[in-house]
Amino acid sequence: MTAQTQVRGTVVDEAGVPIIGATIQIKGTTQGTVTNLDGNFSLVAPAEATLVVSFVGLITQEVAVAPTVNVVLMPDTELLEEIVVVGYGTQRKRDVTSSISQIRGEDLASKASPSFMQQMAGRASGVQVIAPSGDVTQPPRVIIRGVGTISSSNAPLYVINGVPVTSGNVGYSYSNNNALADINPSDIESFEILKDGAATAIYGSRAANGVVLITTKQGKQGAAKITYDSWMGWSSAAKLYDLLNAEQFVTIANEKYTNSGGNPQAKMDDKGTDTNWYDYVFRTGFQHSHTVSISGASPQTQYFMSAGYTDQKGLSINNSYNRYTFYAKAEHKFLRDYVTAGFSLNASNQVNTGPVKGTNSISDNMYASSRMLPNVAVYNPDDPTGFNIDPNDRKSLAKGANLRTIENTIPNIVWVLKNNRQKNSSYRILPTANIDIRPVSWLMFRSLVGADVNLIDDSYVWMPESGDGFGYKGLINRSSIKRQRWNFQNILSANKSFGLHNLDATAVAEWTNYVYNRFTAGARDFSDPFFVDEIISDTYVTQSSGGSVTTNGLASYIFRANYNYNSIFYIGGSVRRDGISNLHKDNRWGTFYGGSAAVRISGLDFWKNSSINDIVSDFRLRGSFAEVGNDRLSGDFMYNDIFAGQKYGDQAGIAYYQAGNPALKWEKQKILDFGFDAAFLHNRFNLVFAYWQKDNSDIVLDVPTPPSLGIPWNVIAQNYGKINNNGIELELGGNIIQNKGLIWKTAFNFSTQQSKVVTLVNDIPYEHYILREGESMNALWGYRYAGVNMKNGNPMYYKKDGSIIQGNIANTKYYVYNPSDPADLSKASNLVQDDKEILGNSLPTWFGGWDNTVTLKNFDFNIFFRFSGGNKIANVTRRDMLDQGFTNSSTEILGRWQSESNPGDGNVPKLYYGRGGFINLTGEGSSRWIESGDFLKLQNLSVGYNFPKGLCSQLWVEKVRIYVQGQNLATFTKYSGLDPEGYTVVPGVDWNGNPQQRTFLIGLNIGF
Amino acid sequence: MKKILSILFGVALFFSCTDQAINLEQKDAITYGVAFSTPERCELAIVGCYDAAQSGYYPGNNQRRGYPFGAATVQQGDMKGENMLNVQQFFAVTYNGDYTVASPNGQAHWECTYQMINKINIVIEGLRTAAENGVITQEKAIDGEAEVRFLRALGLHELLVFFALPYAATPNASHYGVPVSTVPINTIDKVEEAKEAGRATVEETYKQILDDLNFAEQNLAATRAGGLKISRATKGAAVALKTRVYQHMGKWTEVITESNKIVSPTAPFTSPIGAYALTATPEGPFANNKSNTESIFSIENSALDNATNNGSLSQFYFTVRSLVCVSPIIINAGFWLKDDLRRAQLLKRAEYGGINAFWSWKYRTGTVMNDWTPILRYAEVLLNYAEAEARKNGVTQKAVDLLNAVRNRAVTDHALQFTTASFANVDALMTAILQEREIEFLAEGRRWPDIHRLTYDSKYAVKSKDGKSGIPDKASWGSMKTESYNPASGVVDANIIKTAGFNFEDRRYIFPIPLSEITSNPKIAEQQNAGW
Repeated sequence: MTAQTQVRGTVVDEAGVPIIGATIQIKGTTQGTVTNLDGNFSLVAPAEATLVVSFVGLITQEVAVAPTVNVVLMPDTELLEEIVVVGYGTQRKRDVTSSISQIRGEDLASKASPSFMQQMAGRASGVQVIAPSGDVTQPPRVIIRGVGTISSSNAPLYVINGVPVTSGNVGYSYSNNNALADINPSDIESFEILKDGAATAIYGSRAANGVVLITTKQGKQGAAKITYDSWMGWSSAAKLYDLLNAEQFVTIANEKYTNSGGNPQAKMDDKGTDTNWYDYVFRTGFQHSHTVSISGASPQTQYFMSAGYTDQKGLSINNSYNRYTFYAKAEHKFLRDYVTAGFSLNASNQVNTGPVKGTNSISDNMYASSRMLPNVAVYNPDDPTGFNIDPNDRKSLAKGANLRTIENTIPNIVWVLKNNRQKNSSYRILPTANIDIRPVSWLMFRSLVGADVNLIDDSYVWMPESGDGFGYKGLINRSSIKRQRWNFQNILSANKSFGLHNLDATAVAEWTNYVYNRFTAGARDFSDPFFVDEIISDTYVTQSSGGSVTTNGLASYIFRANYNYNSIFYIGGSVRRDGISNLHKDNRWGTFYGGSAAVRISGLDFWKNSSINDIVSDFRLRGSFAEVGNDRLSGDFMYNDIFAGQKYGDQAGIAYYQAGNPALKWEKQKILDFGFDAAFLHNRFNLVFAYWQKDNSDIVLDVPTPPSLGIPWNVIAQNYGKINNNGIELELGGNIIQNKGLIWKTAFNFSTQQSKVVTLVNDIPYEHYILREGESMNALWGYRYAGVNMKNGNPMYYKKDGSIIQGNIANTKYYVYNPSDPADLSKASNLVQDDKEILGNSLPTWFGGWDNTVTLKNFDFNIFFRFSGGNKIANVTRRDMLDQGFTNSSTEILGRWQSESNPGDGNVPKLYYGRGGFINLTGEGSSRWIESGDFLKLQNLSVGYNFPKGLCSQLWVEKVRIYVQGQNLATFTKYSGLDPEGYTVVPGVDWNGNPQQRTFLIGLNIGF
Repeated sequence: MKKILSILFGVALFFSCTDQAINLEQKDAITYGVAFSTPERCELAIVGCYDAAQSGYYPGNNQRRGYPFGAATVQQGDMKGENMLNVQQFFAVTYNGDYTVASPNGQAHWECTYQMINKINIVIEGLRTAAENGVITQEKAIDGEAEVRFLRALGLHELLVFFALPYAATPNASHYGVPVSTVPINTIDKVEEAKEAGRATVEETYKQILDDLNFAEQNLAATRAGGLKISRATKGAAVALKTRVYQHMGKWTEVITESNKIVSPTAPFTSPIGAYALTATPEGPFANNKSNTESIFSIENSALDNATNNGSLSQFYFTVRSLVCVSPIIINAGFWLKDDLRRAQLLKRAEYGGINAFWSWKYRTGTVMNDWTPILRYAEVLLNYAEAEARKNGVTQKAVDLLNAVRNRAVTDHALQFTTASFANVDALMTAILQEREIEFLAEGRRWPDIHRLTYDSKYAVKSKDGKSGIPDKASWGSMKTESYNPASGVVDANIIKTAGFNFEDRRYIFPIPLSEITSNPKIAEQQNAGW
């Protein structure tokens, strides 16, 4: 008789969730037990015995008998038919041979943000998600594996439940509308991001920017389940600029005047008014979200329904986002399960408001609030509006004790934000209906119809008392926009195994068509400010109307086949023929294809039989090649030579409007991808590595024509130019610790990307960046700043030959700098375009994320870092905040040159009223504003608590989890602007952008 | 059979789907091929050229801002000079001379003018083809061609004034003028071909301008119905523009010849063509800008189609947006008499930023923005004529009469009116005529063209501070006070003159050819203006 031990233990899955009903058996016997509701078990076993712990779908584990045994069972990918959604179908995860990143919906749903897109940042390799600001209505920019085009869209194709949908910013005038924010993140089951050619080729002419497949939830086998998910949070600006206080402002403003021979204009008032305008313009926004769902499934019928509401107040006092969603999906098998009918509907209403945005607009909330005079109060009870507005110049902020009003008639921004309104409401429905016929188990025919209808009511209302509406005596502009897309797909798919030979094939015929309609009505010159809220007949003098219409469509025939031998050798390919309405009839049809091959070396006998298998449990090499296209041109009828309506006063006319190019074709992209997938220690860790290369050619470029030739807009779209992108991707994940009730799960990803403009028609310059052969996309560009001449405070620059010249502020002329006599202004020189140089790469060359979840008993902790770098940023906001007008400035201006004995920081030249354009080279790029964009961000930190099962059952619920979370908590960067990811014009140009949000929230998930 | 039918049905379904999905027609525009297919469309296309003159699109944001002739010609012409004063820093680029090759003002002026010129070339070809095809009559085609060629001449001359040195800069005006194209360009092949041309010389550019104006003069009607008499080209407009063009060329005999076509031999001067005459009061052409006897050609603006609040004169030149006021330099000028009616009728005082400043009251519709933009007035013809007469024939009664015609409706006190005896010599008369232009055309953008054309004039050139021909120093809003205005005092406070002018040797004297042209046109890249 051997000694017996009392064993107590817990069995959990890789996520730390207790497994109910796992079997614990004493090895070599039939004795054992099963785990209870909390995953606990106890039994008595011989001290020397081994316990065999098993559960269906998980890898069986053997553990030695001990008083306490905690077991984590890992999923058995060989057994588990884990499914990945691919274009027009699904595949077993194990058999996918292309680069697809999968993100679970639940990873994003609990985070506070208007759309799931923001939360995708840093979670998948090769996928860059950049939120340009903390504006809750603004969609982030998503780039999959580099930027390969110039004039066409760079955005990926989004497909929801098989139907391509409208994405991007669909706001019309001043307010944003993020089309993908119509989807409640809580309704999403998974995202699959198709990255390489083998995965995307099936989307043919639409594949070049990658494809994001979104699958919504469906009911799971079992009785009806009701869930309630909610969070509420508080967002505030992660960072704001350091502006001058009232005293500093008075000193600086007067120095600008006295240096230029003028009289001091700024004065402190008797009350010592010192206004921090940001306090009035930005706030802590309360945000909350609620979703209720009911779901369930029987063998024949599954259903899922949910309703959601979210209300998110943005940082700027007039920025908000509201969403109401309704989602339903049902499927029923009938006719002896030969036929399945399915329906889904996503309906939503989004209401967005926000400030006027425009880098140079005087009513832009950031531009204006950073310039408001700090020695002037916000409110004035004596003014009819209650706001401090100049009594003579009704557009402008009042002057307070100053002798003059603010520069450029900048309005009292608090009045603007509280009175003017930029708003849109959208109504969106995404219905689908499908019928699946499965005559035999290996063959299925599916017919799917889907639609995407988006109605937008967009308006802006500018009150007449001040600001932008003053020049119109009140203005309303209201647009009604309708976007309708229908999609019809017929899919025949076969999936059959012959012994160890597995074959699947899919044939698709698909048609889609999109129609855009807009109608705009406007009103100006209101009889009474009372009426300036809605368009009411006979309350205004000048009325206007306008509108537009356009359409596009695609017809596609697709074939795909995959073969594998025993999941060891794989070969597959697809071909797609697209007819594209955007192109001239004669060259409308194109063929796109892709192929891939893989070998699972770990499936070969030598590996399986070797001890290496205990360390590297899965190893597969794969490679793919594809030639796909980008048909998302900037216009729908760019092949047409057209005349459009134009008015001359009250006379109607038409005028040449677009030089069409009937020879225009889609952009070509060749994609090469190879890499390997590996799993270690019985799939406890996994590693994915890929190298990719994308060569875009025949780029649809708005080729600049010499303006002196008068081609409309000075461009003709042509297939011209070549851009190459390449990079590597690495994903590494697994459970670092998995014992004693403690599980530490980690996921790390790292990507690189390099872009290069290989051929281009000629330089295409912009203010701060340039497209130039041999450089990266949108390379930053400008003059090289040589600092301040310490003798006289003049700014200095390098000429192309390396010599230095100074810009003499007094007469705005340039002179050769003579180091031995810095004051010498005898030899004239000039800054010319040729002196400009490439100043940096505006696109990050490396980025990634590191996610960690630690589960300890009923607690879970998450910490998520993101990082990115290798790029430079033109911090143009800095330039604007050193302006030489009568406006407030950033504290950087305190470092100005004052005298030879007090020369400042060597970077900020002498002040001189009105010479900002010359001193700061307004309108041109300069190395003075270029900064490194490298950063590391603590994106997410959260703690959750799952109520114990026992307590739950007492509360009559199945599951309760509460959590607290902080987002965007810290950014480690040398970048001096608000956020290294913030941008306004293009990524890499940060010009008066809004701050990013820092959010704290508490959340609750209940399952009944 | 049933099987075949169902297959056919399936095939038909497939094809109808394809048709519905991708065989789509553009509904928001007319294709080039049918743009001249009816007489009505031919007329619409002619109007389209005027629209291009009125409201081209601003580069960068594609908004309308009144380039080139809807407002910009006035604003840029005034801001290069010293008599109008820039108030807002964001509009100070031209005023301060801070422009570069990338500055949007110069770029928009260049680009929008050429947009108009190519539209004109397209319309000329379209009208000729329509006439050949019998869509319109030969007469109608020629009339339309004459109209748009008037605009082309106006556009080319505008470009010369801003982007090229004056006619007199070289003996044969053989220096760089501007690119001149008279063929329609709408395809990649035509672009490649036209790129080879480069800049014409100033002489060649003027030759094209005069060709166009002669054609316009010969073929245009003398008048049109209603407001079209002013807003569309007429025979008189072509002649009036020729007086200006010859004046810029320094061809005084031709100025006189042309002037005589539209100026009666004796006062009160009226025109046998188009019946032009000065209005009774100086404010006549502005108070009633859509219908008066004096406006020869103006750009039509309406409440719904204008240079917008980002460009229109009624917003910029008054306190609706307070961008440009009248400078003490001209307000205080002694030669502008205190009781001159133009002070009372065409100026207004209004406080902005603590300064009770003078503003132009030529554009009065404020937020509605439908003042028509003056391009050619009969007053200009008379002063052009007066100058040519004085230069050719000295202090003649005719020259003084022409000057007085314009001046005496504003200077009504007989004691202050000129006679031949008022002028000791021709220089005194010339000075008076040039000063009269500064007053009469204040806020109409004529100041820079006058500075420009006089650059090489040994006697009458406008001088910069160093005594060389150039742009004088200007007042700075930042140093101004209400007291800086002291009308007709003849004294300008030196403390407000803080914006440095520059002479004609400075690269900034004329605008650079914009970067957009330089980067896309290698030929013109080699022909950039000096110093840029």
